[in-house]
Amino acid sequence: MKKYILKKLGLGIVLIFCVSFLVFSMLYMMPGDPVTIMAGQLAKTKNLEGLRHELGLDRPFLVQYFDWLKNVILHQDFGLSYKYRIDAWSLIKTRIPISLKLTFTTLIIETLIAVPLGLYCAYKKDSIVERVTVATTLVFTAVPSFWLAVILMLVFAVKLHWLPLSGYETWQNYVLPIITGVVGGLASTIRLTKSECLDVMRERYVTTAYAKGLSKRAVLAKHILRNSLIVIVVNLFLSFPWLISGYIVIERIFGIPGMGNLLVNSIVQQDFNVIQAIVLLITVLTVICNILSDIVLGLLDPRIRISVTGGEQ
Amino acid sequence: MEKEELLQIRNLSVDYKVKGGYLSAVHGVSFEICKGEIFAIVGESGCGKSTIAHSILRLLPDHNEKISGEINFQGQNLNELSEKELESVRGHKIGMIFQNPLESLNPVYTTGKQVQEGLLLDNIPKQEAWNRVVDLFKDVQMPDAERRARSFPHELSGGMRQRVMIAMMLGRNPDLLIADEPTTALDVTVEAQILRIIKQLRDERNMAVMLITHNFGLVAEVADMVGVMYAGEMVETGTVYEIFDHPSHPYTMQLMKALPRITKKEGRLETIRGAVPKMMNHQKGCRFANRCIYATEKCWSENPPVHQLSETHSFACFREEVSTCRK
Amino acid sequence: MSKSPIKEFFRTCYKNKNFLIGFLMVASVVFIALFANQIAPYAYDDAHPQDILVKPCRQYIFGTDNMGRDLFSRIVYGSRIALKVALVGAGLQLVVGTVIGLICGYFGGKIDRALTFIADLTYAIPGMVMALAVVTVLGSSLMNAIIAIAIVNWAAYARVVRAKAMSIKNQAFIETGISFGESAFAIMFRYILPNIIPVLIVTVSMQLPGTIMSTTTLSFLGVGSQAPSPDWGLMVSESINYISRGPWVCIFPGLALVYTVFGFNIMGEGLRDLLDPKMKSQ
Repeated sequence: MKKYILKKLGLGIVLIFCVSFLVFSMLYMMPGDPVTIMAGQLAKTKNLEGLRHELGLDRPFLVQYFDWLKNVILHQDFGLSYKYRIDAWSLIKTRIPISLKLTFTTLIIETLIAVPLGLYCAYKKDSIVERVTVATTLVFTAVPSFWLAVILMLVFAVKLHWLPLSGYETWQNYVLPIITGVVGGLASTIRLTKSECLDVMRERYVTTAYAKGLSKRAVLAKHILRNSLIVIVVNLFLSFPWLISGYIVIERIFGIPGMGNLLVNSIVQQDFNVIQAIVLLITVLTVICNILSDIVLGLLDPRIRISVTGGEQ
Repeated sequence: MEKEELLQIRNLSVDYKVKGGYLSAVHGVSFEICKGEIFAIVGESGCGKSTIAHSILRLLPDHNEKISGEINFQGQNLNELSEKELESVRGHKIGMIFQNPLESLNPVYTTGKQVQEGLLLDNIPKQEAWNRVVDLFKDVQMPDAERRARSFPHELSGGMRQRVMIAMMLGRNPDLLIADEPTTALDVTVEAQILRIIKQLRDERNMAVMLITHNFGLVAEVADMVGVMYAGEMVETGTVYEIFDHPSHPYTMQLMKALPRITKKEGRLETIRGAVPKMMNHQKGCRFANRCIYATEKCWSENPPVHQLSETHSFACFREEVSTCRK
Repeated sequence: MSKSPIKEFFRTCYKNKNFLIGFLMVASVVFIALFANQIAPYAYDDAHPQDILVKPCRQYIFGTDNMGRDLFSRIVYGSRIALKVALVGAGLQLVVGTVIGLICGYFGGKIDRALTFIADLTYAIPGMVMALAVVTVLGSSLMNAIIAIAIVNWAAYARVVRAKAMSIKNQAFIETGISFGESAFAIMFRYILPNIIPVLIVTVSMQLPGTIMSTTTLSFLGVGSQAPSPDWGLMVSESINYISRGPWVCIFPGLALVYTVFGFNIMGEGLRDLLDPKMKSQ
């Protein structure tokens, strides 16, 4: 198990380095020049070359990259936000918990709804509930989250005045964003749960469990659900980073000052260092989630646990 | 020997719902199994023998089947029991083991836990149940029983896995063990061990065994009674001696010819021409007619009558004379 | 069984309700896009300053937006953008993914490992984040948004093609081709590719709805189509500013988008059942 985790960890680190290089070089090549952007704001600054030198942008590419990387690793220094003229990390730092809180809440609510519903749909196939669920999920996979968010806003904030339009001070502000996020992920999680449960139900060991004399409920809980959970939980970990990226749009619409909102703003304003920092951060998060999902898979499925340690006795 | 009837199957039919009607998997099958008897059901794959085994405990996987007829077991018609009532029969009165022991064991629990799970249904303390698991593992001659009970299924060999299955199903002392092709997925040497265990347990516990197999050699080795199945129907039943010495149904006769025999030095293994037909519901005539060398016109249009040759030996065919095929 | 295979195919298509409904929905969008000039009563950028934010009425059946442009006409013209996204986007992903997948699957070895690593890399970054980064570099426009989504999505095609190519590579007819002295290029495109087409069709139909959705999302975020384009995503995004005064402006473009994506969605599902029964989700 230890060897397995270390291997995954190593691969993850390589991946993060590659992404960091990719992101850095991509933004290095971009046509917009941050110096002119900054200069544009500080109207009087004529000395572009001086500013360029001050920011270290006149050095060779690789030097810039490794310098950037060194600062990132050693001092969490992602450079300066050209827009806000403070260091990017302190700008992002305050946004991270907001995005993470949203994502966690969404994931928990989504799971609490999708897993029982998916299980029920698999168990009572061809029931009314199953048919309605299938039809609804089919429709909702065609609804983009930005439009859903706008419609929810229109109905609950503009027309009914039940909830505030935007902002982030009270819990009411988070209701609509979370609903949007939950609905966005619900369809696929229900589908996954259902198809996985159906697969497990067809397994021979489920027949064995019945042959033992176990009741339907016992078989459902101890065999069908337990074995389906392997895939469901792994998927949960994997969907975390995708949820964060899904929240880019949602944060933007509801004016929540999370990472996503900052990312879009930075792109519009071509705020280099902030973009790099956020993309890198989300990538690191993704890689961490991948590693966690592998570990969880090992914990839940003894077949993997054993094969990894090389036939533990 | 005084025989006491344990399971009596009367006119059992199983139909699968398929596109455009019902597929008749088992049709009008009747037989009985006595206490302490090993009853083998033989036939080619797809002949419905496995379906019979599964329908007794209503364990057919797809739940799109229709079971009719009587399955009388200790005075109860299992076919009329509710799902809840049937749960108390499964494992407790009738145990069942399957063809592929790896697929039949849950990969995420230790083997001991899975055996214990059944025992706990009798409301005994956990520790006591665990001790019984280890004892059961010893009963099925599991080497290193204590440790194997803590192993996961994939860590065991095929033979050991089937032992786990047997231990699991014997745990609650059933009166009948249904073994659905229990050795098909195993090596020949392991097969012999498993059969020995089953036979031994039968002797010790006076438990009846319903053995489903396509292997006539295996039948000769362990069975007391034999039922030959063809395309969903039981074409001939009898004691193992009656079937092997006086096969009477043309299908049985041809099966016997197809068997490799040590005595027959030359000549090739005979095969039966044609394939097993897929039977839709309510089709008349003998199902073997298209492959039968004795088939007459009557065979295609009418159901063949059943001839009783002895108290135990019967077969369904228009031909009346007893075969002399075995030379 | 004297029916021709083509007739038989159409018969099964007809029986497959998902495919039929999806196909009709997509066909209707195509029809509207083709005859937009005839269907739309106004040009998409035709501003009527005296008719700002008019509710749906007889003259403007979907109402007008904050510049007095007829919403119905804009949505009708917007269908062209949606289809362009579908066509160009899917085409781009398909070509890049198939070529890379074929190279990986056919040659294997180092090239395969390198390209597979790159594909894995694209999986390590959530799609929307990567698309946004790419658009940052390329600049904001519809074409760049399409390219960005293609860069995110090509790996899905490459994976499928690679796996298929690998399994086909060792079959006898390929070896026959090689023994005839066919070039690697010819083997890949004339021998292997035709055998992958059903899988490719299924993959395209499964990726299409997502492609339309994510490209539209980029437009919504302001990094795709630019004003005054009648891009449905952009229209919804603009409508937020006056959502209380003209809610219809955000409702109708979204409905059009949902209709189109849903059509592609179930058509894809139907196609998958028709062409690749093994991939059935249930």
